[in-house]
Amino acid sequence: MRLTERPLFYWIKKRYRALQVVLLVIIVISLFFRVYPLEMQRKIINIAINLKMIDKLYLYCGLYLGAVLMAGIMKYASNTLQAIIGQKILIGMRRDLYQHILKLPLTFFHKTQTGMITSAMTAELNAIATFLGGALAIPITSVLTFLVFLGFMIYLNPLLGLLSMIIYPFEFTVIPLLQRWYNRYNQKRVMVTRRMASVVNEAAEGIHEVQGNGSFLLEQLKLDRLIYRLYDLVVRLDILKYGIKFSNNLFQSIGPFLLFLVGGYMAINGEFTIGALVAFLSAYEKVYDPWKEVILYYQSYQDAQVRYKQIMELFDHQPQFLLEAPGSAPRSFKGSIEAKNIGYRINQSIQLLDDISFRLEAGKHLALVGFSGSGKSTLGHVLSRLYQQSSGTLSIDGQMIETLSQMDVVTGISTVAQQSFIFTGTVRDNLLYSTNALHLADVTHELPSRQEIFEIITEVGLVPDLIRWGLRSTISPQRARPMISSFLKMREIVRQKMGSDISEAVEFYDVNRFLRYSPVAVNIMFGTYGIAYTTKKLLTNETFRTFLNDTALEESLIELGLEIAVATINLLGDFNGDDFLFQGSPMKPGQLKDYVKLLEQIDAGGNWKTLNKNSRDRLLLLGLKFTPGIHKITSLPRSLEAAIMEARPQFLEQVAKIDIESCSNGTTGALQTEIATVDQAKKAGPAKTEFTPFCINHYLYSRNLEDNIIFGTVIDRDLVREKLSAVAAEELKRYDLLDYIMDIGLDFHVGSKGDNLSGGQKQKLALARALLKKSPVLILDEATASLDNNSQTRIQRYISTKLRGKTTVIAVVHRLDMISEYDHILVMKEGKIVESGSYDDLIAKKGTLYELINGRRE
Amino acid sequence: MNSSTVVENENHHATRLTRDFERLRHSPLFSGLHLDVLKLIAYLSRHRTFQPGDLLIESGKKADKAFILDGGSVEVMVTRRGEQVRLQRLENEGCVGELALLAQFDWFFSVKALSVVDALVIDRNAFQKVLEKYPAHKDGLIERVIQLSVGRQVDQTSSMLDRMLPTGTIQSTALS
Repeated sequence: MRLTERPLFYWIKKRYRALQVVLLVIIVISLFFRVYPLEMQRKIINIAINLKMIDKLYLYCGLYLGAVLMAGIMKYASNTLQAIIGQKILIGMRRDLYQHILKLPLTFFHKTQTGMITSAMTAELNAIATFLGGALAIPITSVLTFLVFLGFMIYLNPLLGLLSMIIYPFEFTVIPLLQRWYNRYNQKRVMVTRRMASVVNEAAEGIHEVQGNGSFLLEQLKLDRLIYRLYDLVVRLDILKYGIKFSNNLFQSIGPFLLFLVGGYMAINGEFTIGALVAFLSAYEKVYDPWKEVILYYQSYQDAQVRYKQIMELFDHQPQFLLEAPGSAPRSFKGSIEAKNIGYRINQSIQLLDDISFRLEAGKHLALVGFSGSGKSTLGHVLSRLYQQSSGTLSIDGQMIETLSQMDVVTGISTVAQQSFIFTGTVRDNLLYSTNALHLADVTHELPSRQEIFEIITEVGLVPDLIRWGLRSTISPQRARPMISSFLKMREIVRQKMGSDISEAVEFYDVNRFLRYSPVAVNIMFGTYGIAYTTKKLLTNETFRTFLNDTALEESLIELGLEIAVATINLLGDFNGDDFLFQGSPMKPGQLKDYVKLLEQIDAGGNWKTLNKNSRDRLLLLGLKFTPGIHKITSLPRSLEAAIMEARPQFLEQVAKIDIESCSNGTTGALQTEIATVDQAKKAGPAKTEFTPFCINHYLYSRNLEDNIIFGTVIDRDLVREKLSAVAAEELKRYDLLDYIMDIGLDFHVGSKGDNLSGGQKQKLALARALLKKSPVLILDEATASLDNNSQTRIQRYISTKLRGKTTVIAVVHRLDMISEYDHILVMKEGKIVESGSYDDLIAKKGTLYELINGRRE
Repeated sequence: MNSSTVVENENHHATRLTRDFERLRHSPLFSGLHLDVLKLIAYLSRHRTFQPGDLLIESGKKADKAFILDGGSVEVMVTRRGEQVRLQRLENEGCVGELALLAQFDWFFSVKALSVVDALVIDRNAFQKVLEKYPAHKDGLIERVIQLSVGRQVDQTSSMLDRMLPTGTIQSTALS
C-alpha cells in the first residue's frame, strides 16, 4: 500500500503483534487482581468484623494486600510495555517516512517549507507515538474492565447495578460532542504551529537579510499574527478541555448520590448488607476508571489522527521513479545521449526549454553556452533527470530515460551544481558521499583507495588545502607516535629555513624568554599539562599548587587576577555578554556577574585574604590565564614577570624533572631515548607525563601539527600559513609525510554544512566527489565558476585530457575561452538552440557564438 | 564605569592600555573624544612594529584596518602604468587607512614604512563595535574620519600638483 495512504491503524496492526498479545494477556490477568480486593472488602466487613473472627480478618487483609500489590505490579509492567511498543512502532514509521521523503521529486521541496518537513518528522511524530503504544490494548482493556466491574455489581445487587448505569447514556452523547469541537480547534492549532515553525525557520535561514535590512519588526509582525491566532485557539481548546473535565466530574459525583439514597434505604430495610454496600461503592468508583481511560484514549486517538492525517497529506506525493529494477543490478551505460525535441514547461505556461535536439556519442564532450536565463542550467537538470521534460524524448544508450530506475540514473550520471551542497562531517565523508551511497546500496563493492582519492584531490587542486587542514589538526598520541621523529626533523628544518622570515609572526618557544603570547601558567611550566590542556584542570593538580605556594607566586597571581577582575568590570561591566569585547581579558563574558559578586566580598582596602579558597582560586585562574600579548586589559608587572622567569627553571628541574640544557639544545638524535623514557615514566606513574615541557626534542601532544612544526605560538596566522605552506609541501614530501598529513586532512571537520570551508574549497570538494564516482556521464553546471582562473584551467585540462573518450561530459560553461576544448557546442537563447556545431565551424560562421566571444557588434 | 581607572593604574605601572589611551588622545583622529569611548578604542587596538620597507597597506588587498602612527615615517604610494608614484610622506603622529573603519573596499594605494614604524592598529570590526556601544558618538566619529580623509585628499593633490606644475607635466586649464 502506498505509504501516505496507510491509515494510522495499519502501523499498529502489522507490527509487533506478539508483544501486543503479551500486553493484552497481562492486562486481562490484572483484571482479576483488581476485582478480588472488592470481594475481600465485603468479606472483611460481613464475615470477619461482623462475626468478630480475628483469624479471618488476618487472612482477608493479607489476600487484599497481595491482590492490590499484584494489580500494581501488572499495571507498571503494562505501562512500560505500552511505551516500548509505541516507540518501536515509531521507529518503523519514522524510517519509512524518511525514506519516502528523501525520494520525493525536487518540485516537492521547492514548494514545501523545510520547517514544515522538519517539524512533521520530529515533534509531531513523537506525539503520535504516545498514542500508538496502547492503541489496541487500551480500548480492549477498558471495555473488559468495565464489564467485569459491572458484572460484579450486578452479582452483588442486580437492581443497584443496573441503576448505577443509567447516567452513562448521557455521558455517551455529551462528551463526544464536546470532543468533536475540541478536535476541530486542535487541527487548526497544529496548522498554526507548523506555520509558526516555518516562519521562524525562514527567518533563521535568511538571518543575513534580516539583520542586513534591520527587518526585525517586519519579521516580528509575520510571527505576531500567528502568535495571537495560536493564543486564541489554545484558549478555546482549554475551555473545551476543562468543560469535558467538568462534565465528567459532575457525572462521577451523581452516581454515589443515587447509590447512597437507594442503597442506604435498602440497607436500613435489611435488604442489603453493609459489607456489600461498601464493596458496591468501591466497585462503582472502579467502574469509572475504564470509562475515564476510554475518554482519554478517544482524545489522544483524535489528536493522533489529526496529526497523522496532516503529516501524510503533506508528504502525499509519489516518488517519480522506481528505486531499483526488480531483481537486477543497475544497468551499465556507455554514455551516448540523444535528445529529441525536448521541451520543459512550468505551471503549464512558462516555456523554459523548447525543441532541444542533439546527439552525443559516448565519451564526447558537449558545452552548453548562452546568455544568462537561456535555459542552460535547466537543460542540465533535465539531462540529469532532476527535472522531467514536458515533451520530447531523452535517451541514454538508446534507453528512454523515463524507463530507468533511480539506481540506474544514480550510477550512470554524476552531477556537479554551481552551488554544491556540503554535508556536516569530515572532508572524507563528503568526498566519499557518492561512493559510500553506492556501496551501501550494494551497487559497488569497493570504495576508492587512498591513492585514488589523492589522485582526484590533486586533479581538482585541493592538495594545499588538505595539507593545511592536516597541519591544523591535533592528533591522538597513537596516530602521532610513529611519525614523531619526522615531525621533529621538520621542526628543525622549518627553523633553519624560515626562522627569520617568520620571526615577527611567531613567538618561538625559548626557555630563556618570557612568552608574551602564552598564558602565565604556560610560562611557569614552560610546557603544557595533560593532553587537553585547561587552566582549570591545572588548578586541581596538587604538585602544581604546591609549587605555586612554595615559590610565593600564588599571592602575586591572585593579586594579578584581582587587578584583571577590577579592570574588566570597570571597562566592560556595561557590555555584559559581548564576546567580541572580552577578547582582551582572560575573563569570559558569561563570568562577569560571578566576578562582580566576588568583588563585592572584598573590602575597600582590597584585602583578598578574607575570601574563601574557592573565590581565591577563581582570581588565581584569571591570573594564570592572563596572556600579556593578547589580553590588553592590564599589563604584567615587571617584578612578576621576573619572578615567573625565576620560577621556571625550578619547575622544569624539580617538578618536570627535565635537564634544561638538553631540553633547549637537544638534537633530534636524542629523541628516541626521550620517547622511551616518556613511555617508561607512563608505566611508573602519571606525575611526569602530565607536564610536557617545550623541549626542542619533545612532541607536544596537546598542540596541533602546525604548532609542533613551528614550535612556537603563531601571532600572525595568515603570514605564517603563506610562508609555511610553501616550505611544508616540499619538506613533507621529502620526509614521506605528504600522504600521512593529507590522510589526517581528510578527517578535518568541515563544520555545519561546510561552514569551515571557503566557497572554492566546497566546489572543489564537490567536483572531487563526483569524479570519484566514475560514472559514464558527467554533467557540470558551471561547476568551476566560483574558482580562481588557475584552478578552472587546471580542472578543464583534466577533463579534456583524462576524461576524453572515457566519460561523456555535458558542461554548462561560463568561461568562453575554455569551450574550444569541447567536441560540440550548443549555443542557447531563450530556451532554444540557436547554434550547434564544433568550435571551429561556429567561429568560422561568425554567428551568435562569435558575437558572444568577441562582444556584441554595435 | 568611571574614567579615572586608567589614571589609578598609572600609579602602579604604566600599562599598555594607559599608553595607548594617551597616544589616541593626541592623535588627529580621536583627539577630544569622550574618555570612555577613547578607553574602549584603546583597549581594542593592537600594536604592530614595521621594519623599513614593510608594507602597512598593500594596494589590492582587502581594507579592514586603520593605523595610528607613533614614531617613524611612511610614504603613501600608488602604482600607475607599472610605475610607483609617491603621493605623500607622513611623519610621526599621522594616521593612515582610516576609511577602512567605515566601509569595505580594496586598498587603492600602498603605504610603506621608511623607518622602523610603531603603529596602533584598529580594525573595522572593533571600531564598529565601539560605534554600536556608544551610538551617541557615532555621527561625530564618522564625521571625523571623513574630514580627515578629505584633508588627506587635499594634501595629496596639492603636493602632487606642486611637484608637477613647475616641470610642465601638466598645465593649468587657463592656458589650454
